[in-house]
Amino acid sequence: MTDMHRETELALVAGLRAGDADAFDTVYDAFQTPLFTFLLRLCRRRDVAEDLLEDTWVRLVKHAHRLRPDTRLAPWLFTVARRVHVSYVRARVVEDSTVAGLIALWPYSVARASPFEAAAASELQRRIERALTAMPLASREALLLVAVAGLEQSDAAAICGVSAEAFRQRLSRARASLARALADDASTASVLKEVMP
Amino acid sequence: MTDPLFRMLANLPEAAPEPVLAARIRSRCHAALATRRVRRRSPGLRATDMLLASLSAAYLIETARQALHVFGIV
Repeated sequence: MTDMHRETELALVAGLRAGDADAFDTVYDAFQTPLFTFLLRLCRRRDVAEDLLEDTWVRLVKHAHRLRPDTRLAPWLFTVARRVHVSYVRARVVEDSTVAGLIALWPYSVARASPFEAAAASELQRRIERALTAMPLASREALLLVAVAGLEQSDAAAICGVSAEAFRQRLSRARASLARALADDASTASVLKEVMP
Repeated sequence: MTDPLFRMLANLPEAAPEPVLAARIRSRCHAALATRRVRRRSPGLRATDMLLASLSAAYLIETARQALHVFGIV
């Protein structure tokens, strides 16, 4: 995740509040890749992730003048990104339930692979991506926020709208579930023994 | 990060949006910021709008009063 000195961050927030395009560019350059990576792993579709990313930045600009002077940008942006994804998921529930009924009639599995699988540098990474993709959304976002995006657990808890203790438990369960999924895979298990003796 | 599983997750590849999309989002946001800046910096414009609205309202009221007078209602 992007490391930013607090003074720099406060200056950028002041710039955003004043509508400064340079401040926006600095924030945009620092966060667009982490946000897009987060959204793409949440929704697993590049076209959707791109739409959600655009929504996230548009919301930042729309609310920039109302940002609190002490706003911390990473939690703020990831909170918005998560919310736009939740809105997207809610909007898709009805549509998906209809589609799921039709898919059930199809004789072949159409499970969607993560776009990251093709980009993975190693077989182990590919299997981790696959295991992440198969996890429930709440577990996946907990791992993505803390382990991938590098946010503090307390911030990730606030982003997910749960207490610190509830998030700690969720993260612990997600980690155990991921480790179990990787261990269940015989080929991954042998590699994991080398990485995690 | 000491957890080896978390370290592996942290080392997963990142993804960036298509450059065309990234540029489009940037320009869209710049335009929105510019619009907001113009609105904030031009209170004179708002004063002019208010004056124009007041004059229009006064004109309409006077027109209505004249019309009522012509028809002998007032």
